[in-house]
Amino acid sequence: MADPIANAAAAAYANAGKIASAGLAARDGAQDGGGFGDLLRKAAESAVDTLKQGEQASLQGVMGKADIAQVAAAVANADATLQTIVAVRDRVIGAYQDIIKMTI
Amino acid sequence: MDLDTSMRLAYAGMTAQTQRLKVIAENLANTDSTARTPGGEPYRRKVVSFHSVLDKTLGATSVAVGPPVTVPGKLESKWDPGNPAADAQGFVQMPNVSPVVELMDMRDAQQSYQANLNVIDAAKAMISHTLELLRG
Amino acid sequence: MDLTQIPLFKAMAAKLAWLGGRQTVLAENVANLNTPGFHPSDLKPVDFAKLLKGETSGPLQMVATAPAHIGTPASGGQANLQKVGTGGPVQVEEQMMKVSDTATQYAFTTTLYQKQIALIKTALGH
Repeated sequence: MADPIANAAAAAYANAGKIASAGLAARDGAQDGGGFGDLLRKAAESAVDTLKQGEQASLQGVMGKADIAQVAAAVANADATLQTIVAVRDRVIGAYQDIIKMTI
Repeated sequence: MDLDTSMRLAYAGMTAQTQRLKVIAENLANTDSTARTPGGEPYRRKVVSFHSVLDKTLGATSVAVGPPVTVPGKLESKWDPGNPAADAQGFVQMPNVSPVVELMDMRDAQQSYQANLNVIDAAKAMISHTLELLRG
Repeated sequence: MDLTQIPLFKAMAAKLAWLGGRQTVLAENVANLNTPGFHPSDLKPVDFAKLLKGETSGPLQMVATAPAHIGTPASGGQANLQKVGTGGPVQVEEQMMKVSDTATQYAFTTTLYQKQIALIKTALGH
């Protein structure tokens, strides 16, 4: 699992890239999302999957259809993923604010 | 609360088993208690009966023990002319208590007692988990 | 935010109430181990499908399934606590196993409950 701060920096760069390219696109009609942005989007989607699996496993466990060990593993996974997402979210917001404050 | 009810039911069960054990102990102590005078009645085995009781305050079926009942029936006679209770032929009526039967009954009562104790333990553990949840 | 509307939490709350009720029924069985003619009972398993569809609301309410049941305490909700006779004389080993199983499931569900709440708190930023 990559360092969340590195990911956050990548995301902030991507956002900055998007803003810049959006500005450029407005000028010359081209659209480009940026490679780092895509990377982060995919990571976010798989994270959401992990969270959903955690909730599903919990429900199955409560209904008595899943093994306790399976539920424990799925929930631990979801917990770790959630902590990562929250850390990234917080850093991205912080990084974005830093960038905004930069004077050009 | 359900868990509290469970504990009270188990407590009633334990009380019943204790009373049963008391009667068993009495029987065992009097295995050889003959009468004091010739032709008199020796000790007779006692048993208790269990019956289920609807406890309205709990809203559940509890258990209660009836008063000890003497077991009727023919008594064995032993030849013991020296005994104060010996009749003209030298026979003495013996109590209808069999130590083996009493010991088996005692084992059963202990097992039931332990089972009720287990129920109390389980309910206690569940209450403790609920409190943890409350603690957050 | 009403936690009781989230399916998972609804299910967990229903399960906990069911397990508490089951322990009472099992305690009845064990207390009457030596009562002649007594037949043990158990609770019908929770119908999660109905619960999650919203056809029944939780938490639960005792249902008088026998005429002898009087004054069942109301705790809102529906009939998830239905006693069914399991027939035959009381067998102590079977009852002990059920008691232990109930306690284990209770521990599991409360721990899961705590964990899910902790996850929500994390997402909120605590």
